[in-house]
Amino acid sequence: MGIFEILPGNIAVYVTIAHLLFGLGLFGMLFRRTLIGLLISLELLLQGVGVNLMAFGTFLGHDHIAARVITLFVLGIAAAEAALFLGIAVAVFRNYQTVSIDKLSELKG
Amino acid sequence: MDNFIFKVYYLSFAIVLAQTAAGGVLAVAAKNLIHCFLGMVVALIGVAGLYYHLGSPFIALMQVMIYVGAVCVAIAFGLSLTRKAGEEGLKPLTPIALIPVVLPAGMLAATLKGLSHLEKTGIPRKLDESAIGWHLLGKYLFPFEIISVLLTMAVIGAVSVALIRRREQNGNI
Repeated sequence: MGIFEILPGNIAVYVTIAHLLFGLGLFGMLFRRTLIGLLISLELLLQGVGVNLMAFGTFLGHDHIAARVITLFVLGIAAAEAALFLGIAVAVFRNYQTVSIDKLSELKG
Repeated sequence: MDNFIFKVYYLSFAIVLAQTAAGGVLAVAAKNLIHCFLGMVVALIGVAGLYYHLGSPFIALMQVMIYVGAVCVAIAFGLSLTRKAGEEGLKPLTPIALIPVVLPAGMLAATLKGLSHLEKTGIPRKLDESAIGWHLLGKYLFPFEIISVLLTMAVIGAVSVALIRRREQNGNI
C-alpha cells in the first residue's frame, strides 16, 4: 500500500494532475480539427485551473472559503463560455456547413 | 476495521487520479469525437472526486451538476448538430506539439520547487461550507452579481447567435 498512502493529502499530487489536465487541454487546443474538439479541450484546461486553485486554497491559503468561492466563479464562467461557444459553433455550421477549423479560413490573412 | 476503511480511502483516491488522467488523455487523443466526449465526462467526474478529496463535497456536487449535468448535455447536442464525417481526429504532429509538453512541465517544476521547502501535507479538514453562501452575499456580492449578468447575457447571446440564419430566412431580422 506504500505509495497509495502518500497520495491523498499531498499538494504535489493535486498540482501534478492539474498541470497534466492543463497540458492535455493545451495539446487538444492546438491539434484537434473541429470546434467541438476545441471546446472539449478548453473544458479540460479550465478544469486544470480549477483543481490548482482548490489545491492551493486548501493547503496554503488562510481563507479556505475564498478558494471555494473563486472555484465556483470559475465553474460558472466556464459554463457561460461553453454555452456561447456552442451557439457560435451551431451558427458557423449553419452558414458554412462545416466546423473544421482548417476550412474556416475566411479571415485568414 | 479502521485499517480497512483507510485502505478503501487510499484506493479510491488512486482510482480518482487514474480516472482523471485516463479520461483526459482519451478526450484529446481519441479519433472519434464521441469517444472524446465520453473521455471528457470521465475526466470531469474524476475532477469532482478530486474536489471531494480536497475536503469540499459542495464544490464536487456543483461540478457534477454544472459540468456533467448541464455542459456535457449541451456539448452532446452541439456535437450531434455539427457532426460531419471525415472532419474529426487530430492534425499531424508538428514541432508545435512541444509547447503543451514543455510549458506545463516548466510551470510544474517551478511550482514544485517553490513548494519544496514547505511541509504541506495532511488530510484536508472538513469545513462548514454554508459559509460559502454568506461569502457570496457579503464579501463577494459584486462579482457574484456580475457573474449573474454575464450568465444571462451569455445565454441570450448564444440563442441569438444560433438563430441568426433562421431570422434572415424569415426576412424580419
